Amino acid sequence: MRSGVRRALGGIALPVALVALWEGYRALALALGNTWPGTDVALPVVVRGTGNAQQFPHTWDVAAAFGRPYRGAGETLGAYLLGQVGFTLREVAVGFVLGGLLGFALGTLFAHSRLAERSLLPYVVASQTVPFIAFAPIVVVAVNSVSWLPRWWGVAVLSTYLVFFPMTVNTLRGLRSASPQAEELLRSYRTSAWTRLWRLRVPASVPYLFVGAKVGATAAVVGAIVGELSAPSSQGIGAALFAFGRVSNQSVQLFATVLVAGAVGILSYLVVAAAERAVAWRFTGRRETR
Amino acid sequence: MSDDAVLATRGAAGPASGAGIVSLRGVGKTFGATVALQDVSLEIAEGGFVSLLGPSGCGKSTLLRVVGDLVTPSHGAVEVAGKRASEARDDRDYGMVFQAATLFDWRTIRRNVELPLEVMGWPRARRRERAEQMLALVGLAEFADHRPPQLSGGMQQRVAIARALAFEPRLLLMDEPFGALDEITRERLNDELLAVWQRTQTTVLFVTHSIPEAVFLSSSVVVMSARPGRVVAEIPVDLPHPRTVETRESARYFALVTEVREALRSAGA
Amino acid sequence: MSVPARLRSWFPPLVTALAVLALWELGVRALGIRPILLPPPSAIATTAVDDAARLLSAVWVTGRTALAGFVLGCGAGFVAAVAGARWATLRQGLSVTGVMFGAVPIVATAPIFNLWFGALSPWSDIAVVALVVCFPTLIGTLTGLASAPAASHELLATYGAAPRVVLTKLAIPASLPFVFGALRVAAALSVIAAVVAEFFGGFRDSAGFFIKTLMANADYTGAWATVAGLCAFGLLLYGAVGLAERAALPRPTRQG
Repeated sequence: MRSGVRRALGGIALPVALVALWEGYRALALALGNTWPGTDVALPVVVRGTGNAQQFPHTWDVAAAFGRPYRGAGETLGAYLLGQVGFTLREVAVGFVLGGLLGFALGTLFAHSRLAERSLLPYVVASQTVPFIAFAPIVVVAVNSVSWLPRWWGVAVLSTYLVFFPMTVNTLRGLRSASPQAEELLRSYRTSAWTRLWRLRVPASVPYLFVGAKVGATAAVVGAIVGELSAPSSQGIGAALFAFGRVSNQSVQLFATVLVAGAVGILSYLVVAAAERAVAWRFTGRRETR
Repeated sequence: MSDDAVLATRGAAGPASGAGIVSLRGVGKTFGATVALQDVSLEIAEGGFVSLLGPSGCGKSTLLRVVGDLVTPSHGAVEVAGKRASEARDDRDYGMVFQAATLFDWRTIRRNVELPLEVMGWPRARRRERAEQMLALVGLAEFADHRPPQLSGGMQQRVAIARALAFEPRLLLMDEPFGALDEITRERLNDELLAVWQRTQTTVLFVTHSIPEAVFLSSSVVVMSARPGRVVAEIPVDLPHPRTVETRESARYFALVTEVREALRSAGA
Repeated sequence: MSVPARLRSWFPPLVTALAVLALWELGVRALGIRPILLPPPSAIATTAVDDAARLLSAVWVTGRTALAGFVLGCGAGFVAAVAGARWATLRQGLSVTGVMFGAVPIVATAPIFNLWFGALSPWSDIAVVALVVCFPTLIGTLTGLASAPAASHELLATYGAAPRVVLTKLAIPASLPFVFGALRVAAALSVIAAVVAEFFGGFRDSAGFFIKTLMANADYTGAWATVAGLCAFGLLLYGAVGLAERAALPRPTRQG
């Protein structure tokens, strides 16, 4: 089978399998009356509810919900979510760029100064264990007090926080990955450290940068969503998730929003992966890295 | 010369007279468009030490793997200890040593030697005893509780040899086991290998691309040509045992080395 | 590493920590930053001590959730990967699933679990944590299981070893360094995921709920103190994984 056809089939196989599993469980649970066979003990996930309050809707009900208004007679869910996605993507993009630059700068610093690395790297690592969501509102308030920055920058900063760590670690690894022999060779040509950085170590680090970027892209989405959660009266997919989750009669809309959130994450990943395919071969001769 | 695609079967449990412990007739192997081996026929007598020598890519490793049932020949018949190669593998009639020692880093040296015995289901006490015996045989008894990263390359290969001989196979297949080592360590390991061979009386099939090594170790040197691999010459080595440093410096040794080299050159190597 | 060398390696991070804390304390006072924005470390410490009982219990409740999710999720990821090692078609599917779901913001599913298990039940949060840690563990284990060199597989083939034997004697031991790497990542993620899940709707004793209440009352000092407590728990978990790794994978120094 031609590899293009194969990949397309492989790409479809997973969603098809998931839909099949979903509908399969739904049918089974209903057939069993939502209890384990032969007992009164309830299944872990119960299928009940009607209309918009269903706890386990048919996949096609969720799909249909996109075309219907989600509240009264206003805009359709699809249009509303699309707007929210745009909002979130703005935060993701800023967070990704800022976090990427910061991570790259830190990684370069650590690559050059062992002292800096030993002093700061443990904290860079520890920073990722801190539940940043806890001081997200503080960050938002602080950013909002800078009057010329729009409100959503608070969330973007949170996104940055999640992105810079994988970029730092991978930049550091990447810059260190150049072979010592190549470095010695350039030294013998009496090049400056700056030249060596740009002509040898940065190109050598490109595969690692893309690994970091792929992790960072998905982290940026998580950061944006979580940030929107914790900043009151914000917009975006995270805010939509929270809003739909709080009420009991918008669960079908909730499922739709979750799907959209997932799609945003996958989309960000694919964008970076596509960039990698377009660019990385210039530096490595290989098509894709893990 | 036969070009059959099927392996022949013999009913007897052991090699019939006239045939050796390893019998290859008309063996050929093609990978895709590349002919690795072409019509190789060989008999290896029990108890012998036979080297397969040839330039890179001549198929000697492939031939070894055919004997070991890791590669299925495209044509020809292979018999090991009177059975089909796959049966010999199931019966564990042979042990194999690769160029990389392939020890398991997470096991102690002793437990590395015990590995085949574990797979074969030996009881623990018996396994331990045999492992210690084999380590003593290769002179590494005091390293039994160390781990592979703590040992040098040469020592690791000795452990690999101990492991290959742990279940006393009739045949030992060795694929350039000393290829990654320096010359000095190599010569020392050659001496040790010969000592082990004499004590265990296993038949050895040894792949190498070093002419001096082949001549020093073997009772017979099989010279192969460049791809597609064919047997060009079988040169018996009549040097006396025990073979020592003096052997390496003797006139007869040099004459044999020259003979082997000429055979290689005439094959176009 | 010798003892003095080990102590010396602690020096820079320790100095940095003290320097940062000092700067923080002085900076807040000197610049007159409102405690609402950034409380000084001294205030955080006092609050932590004053409210220690409530703080510790909240951290422990969340920590329990994180731990339960960690065990469930990592266990599931590991088992799935081992099954994938045995059956090649499954492995392909798992690998793709792992990457795709790794890109999805799992925390977005928290409201769904609240819907199913009830916002007040710990299981809704445990489910989120389990899902979050399951995929890195799955991918790490799959990579680790494939990491044994081909020569080792050939060696076992020469012994006529059955697939189950290859799995237990070669693939799984070879995978352990990768598995522990993934577990370390999972340890850090589990606490964060637990708190995020609680933010979506957690039960009253949890740290997430506690923080939300504190924020609503503009008690940011208390919130920071709770965060510090959660941080400590996360580091403990991380350290526990490190200890387990040291026990399972002894690392002798090179001698020979």
